[in-house]
Amino acid sequence: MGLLTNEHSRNRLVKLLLAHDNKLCCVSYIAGVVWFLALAYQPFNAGTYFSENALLPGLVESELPPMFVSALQIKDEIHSEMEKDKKKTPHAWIYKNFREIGLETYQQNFSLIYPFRSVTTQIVTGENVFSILRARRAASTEALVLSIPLRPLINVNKERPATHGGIALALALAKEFKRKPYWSKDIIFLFSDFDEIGTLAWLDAYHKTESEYIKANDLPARSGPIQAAVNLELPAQDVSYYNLLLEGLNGQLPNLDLVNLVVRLCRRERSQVAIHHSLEKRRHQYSDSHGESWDDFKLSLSTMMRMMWYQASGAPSGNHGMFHKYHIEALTVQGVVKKKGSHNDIITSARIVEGVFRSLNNLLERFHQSFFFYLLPATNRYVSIGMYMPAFGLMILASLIKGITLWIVCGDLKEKRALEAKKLKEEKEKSKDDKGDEKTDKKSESEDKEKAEVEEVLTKVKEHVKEESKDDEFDDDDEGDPNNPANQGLISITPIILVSLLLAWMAHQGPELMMRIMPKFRIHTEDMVIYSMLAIFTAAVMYPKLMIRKSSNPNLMIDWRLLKSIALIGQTLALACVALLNISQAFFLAAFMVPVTCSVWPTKSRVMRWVQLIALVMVSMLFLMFVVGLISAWPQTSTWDLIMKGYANTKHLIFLGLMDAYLFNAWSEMIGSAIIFPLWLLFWAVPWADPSF
Amino acid sequence: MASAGVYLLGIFSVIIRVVLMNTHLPKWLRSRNEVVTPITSWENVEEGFSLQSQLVSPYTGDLFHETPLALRSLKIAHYFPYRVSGFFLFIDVLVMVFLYKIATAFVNYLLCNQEEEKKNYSLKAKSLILTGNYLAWLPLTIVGVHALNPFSIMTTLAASTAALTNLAVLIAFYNMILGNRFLSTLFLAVASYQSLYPIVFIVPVALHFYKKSCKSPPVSYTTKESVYSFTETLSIFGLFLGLLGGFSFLAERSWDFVFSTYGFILSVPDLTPNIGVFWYFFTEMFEHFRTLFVCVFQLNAVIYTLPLAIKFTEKPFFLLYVLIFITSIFKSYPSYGDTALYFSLLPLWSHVFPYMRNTLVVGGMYICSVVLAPILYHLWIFAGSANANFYFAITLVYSTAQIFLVTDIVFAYLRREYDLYHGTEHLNPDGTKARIKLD
Repeated sequence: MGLLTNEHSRNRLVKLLLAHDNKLCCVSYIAGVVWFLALAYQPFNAGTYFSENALLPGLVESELPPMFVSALQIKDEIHSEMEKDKKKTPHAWIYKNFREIGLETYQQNFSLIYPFRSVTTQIVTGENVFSILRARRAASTEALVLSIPLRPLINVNKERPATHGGIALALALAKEFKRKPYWSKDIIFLFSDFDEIGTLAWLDAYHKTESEYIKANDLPARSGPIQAAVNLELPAQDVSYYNLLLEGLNGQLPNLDLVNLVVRLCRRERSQVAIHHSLEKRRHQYSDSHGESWDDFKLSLSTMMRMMWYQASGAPSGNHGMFHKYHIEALTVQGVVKKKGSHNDIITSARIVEGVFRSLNNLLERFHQSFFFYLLPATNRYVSIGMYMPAFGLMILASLIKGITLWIVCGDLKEKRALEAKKLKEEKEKSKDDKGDEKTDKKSESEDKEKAEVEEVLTKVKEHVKEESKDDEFDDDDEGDPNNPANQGLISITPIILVSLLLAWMAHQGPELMMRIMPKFRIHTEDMVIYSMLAIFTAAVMYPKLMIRKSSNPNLMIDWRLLKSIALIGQTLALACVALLNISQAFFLAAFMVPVTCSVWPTKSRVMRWVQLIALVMVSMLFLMFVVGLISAWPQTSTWDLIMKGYANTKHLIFLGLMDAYLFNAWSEMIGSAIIFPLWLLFWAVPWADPSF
Repeated sequence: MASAGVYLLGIFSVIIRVVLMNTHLPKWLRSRNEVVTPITSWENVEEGFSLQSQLVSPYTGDLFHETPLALRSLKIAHYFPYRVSGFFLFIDVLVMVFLYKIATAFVNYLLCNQEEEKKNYSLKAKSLILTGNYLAWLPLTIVGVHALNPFSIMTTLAASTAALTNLAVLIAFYNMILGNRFLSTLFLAVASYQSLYPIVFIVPVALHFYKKSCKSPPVSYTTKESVYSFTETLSIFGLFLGLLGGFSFLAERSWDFVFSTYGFILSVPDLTPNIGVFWYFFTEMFEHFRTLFVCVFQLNAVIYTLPLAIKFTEKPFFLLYVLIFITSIFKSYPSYGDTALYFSLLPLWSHVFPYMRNTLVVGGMYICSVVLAPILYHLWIFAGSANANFYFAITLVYSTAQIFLVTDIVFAYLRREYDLYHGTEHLNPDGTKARIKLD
């Protein structure tokens, strides 16, 4: 118990904290950020490897016919089928062809109820097609999924490319796979309508769960628990490289072994593979020896940042994200068409998919080895949770240090005030009877000694406090005053905490409440959402003003040190929690919030107050969303265009975040409005506080 | 009489609970294994009801672990307004009433006790003497703490039957302060009958009633009278326990229930994760060594009674509190219900708080573990990306926080006692200020 009972070592620590807290904060935050970013540098991360040995045998020779003629024929067929009606998806064609090759094939209908029911009662209906290839060597106890989104040609864009190459591939592979004797897991071919929504509807029905807004019909047939899923988005043309998407719902990632498997199989086919279109130079692909130059670092950093950027949103980057919700390892493989560069025809893709499925077929257990928490600076390098957590820990340690220091200062100030009040009282008594006997003299001597000691400590504290609020005069007269908020402690800041909780509740429920009254205004839904957010934000920004209005003091009469200390400790805890769920989100939040929130303090100078307020607004959730909107709209011809496009993007992003929260149960909206927002409101009150306390 | 403030706080706490009962929270909490354990889960009680109505003995299965008399008496929950939630709200209000009564009685006890011992105190310890004014706030504080205690709110919302044990322990505590040996042992027997571990609380009760029976101050605990008094208290307690057991046998007409209730508590067959120290250890344990380590772990939960009883022979209430605390850390199926009890009683010792030194660390640990536990459980069970070690780590933090808190309280209590007898200022022989060390 020496850890907690040894006062000596503890006092030393306290002194160290009080003397150097600002320096420690800065050092820890900067070191954290630098370390985190440096993890992308090759010598600081590690090469990927297979943990699950059972996966390796899939890397043997392909058993597909060398000239895979049927795949090419089917590709032409489906292409002409799709060209017939560009608005439609080829359900009937898929259903008919899978039936013809003798697989169990079914259709599933689902409907999507629009979350904001008061706006429109419109119901969108969709249809999934799925087909089960029953394994010969097992009794349907396990399954693998090859999922292909159905996209009508007119809806195809860069983010969501055409997928009919994938459909052709699935059909051709189904024919081949059916002949093979070695399957020990069922293979389910899933063709889902409306991307994620269709996938989720199918998964809901497969696991017999219900969601509030997506109503799915029951499935006529099932297989066993799904072990893994690959979502394939392959256009009809030859592709120049394969792009992997990993990020799932709420920042979940597939097991690193599955990613390794796909990367390895692509490499075997001598085709390029990338994460979020971040292509590595060919030279480095097959060897780990290089990658120590500045250019290589820049490339790895940009790859890692791209991955973090997508993960931070908490929204799935492809259909595979829905599988993560059901604890199924899944990723998306996109074929990307480019005019220049190498070309991989459909036969190469077929060999890759065949290899993946044959490897997965060999799995003896669920994926449980390798990593679930990682960041990828390249397809063959990884940064695991053990490597990035210390760096992130340093970043948030800054706010913890500041929080604890303020807590200690609070306690010391309280003691000091009590002591001073006592001293005053004693002095009065002393003046009453000057003639104290020797005994009391001795006593007072020792008392004086003690006082001197205490004062020494206290002057240090005071100096520290002064350092913090350089530009305000420390009002000594105020101390000992029973009305001094610092003496009231927690009670003085309770209203602030309650108000911020109330506003957080409003921000969380706001859009839905607003939606109820919306038809009267006849505004677009997206606009309404952002207006309601802005309204709540404005109210939030004004709340210290409203609280000051009634009192005579132009500042908030609160114990700001206690408030800031509680808010900082709360912020540390909140960020640590988010980091466990979604490290990227936590990293970006910490990178922006920590430096500003650590350095707010009440001041009498108007300029400094405004600087702080502006800095705080810059790290508020809504402004950060705007920054995201700006970045996604980046190359524009003029600044005005950029801002307008950024605003439009922000509007859209917030709306999408809200929809994800309703439809898929994504947490980003909740984290933003119910956790980060109230914390931010606590900090918002600090610059308004009376600096003399 | 209770002041208006107490009534207001009481109504406020009921309002908080009623409001929260109408959210999604109770449903979620009933599935949280930090809040309900196999022996306190209301769903298992319902299972027992339905088995009984089918004329099947509930103890033949593996789910029901309530005692036979609890099974029969808990049926009244269905006749309460708002049924089960109403019943547990009622229990919660009763807990609050007894907490209030304990606080008022305890204030008197503290002042009387101080009056008796004052002559032995050091002259320099004047600032430590408790005054009626200072203690007048205690009843209000204790009700306020209970009203806002998140652990007791969670226990009430989750309809955990740990609340019943808590109530029995509190009534026993109250009667102990009043000096009613009969009722005190009766309710202690009820609590022990319900969840076994309160059996060790008989030690402070016996000590207290012997001390009370002695008129002359130098109380010796080794005389013939003392042995006689201890035996008397123990035998009354044993009689009540025997009666409860006997009635259970009459109701069940078999002793099967012993294995599904006490056997279940002692041999720990259910290793569902909870906030305790048992589950992880025994999932890792080879079956071969299991019996030995079950014995060791169960002994660990009660062994501290002996040294603490020797140290705090003169302070039976503090001994009782520390025992409540320790059993709730080391019992085989602990839950937030047990935490709720010792947190609500904590303000009784508010006069030793100035001597506590780790409030920030301990508070931080409590908050972290309560917030992180569901998150890590989600990552382990639902997302599948974390594993059992993550959740175990956080339960370890929770246990450590509890241990830090209880040692801190014991330390603070002893430190204050020391200062009472030696004055608040400690000087070295050379006149410099001395530092009191705990080794």
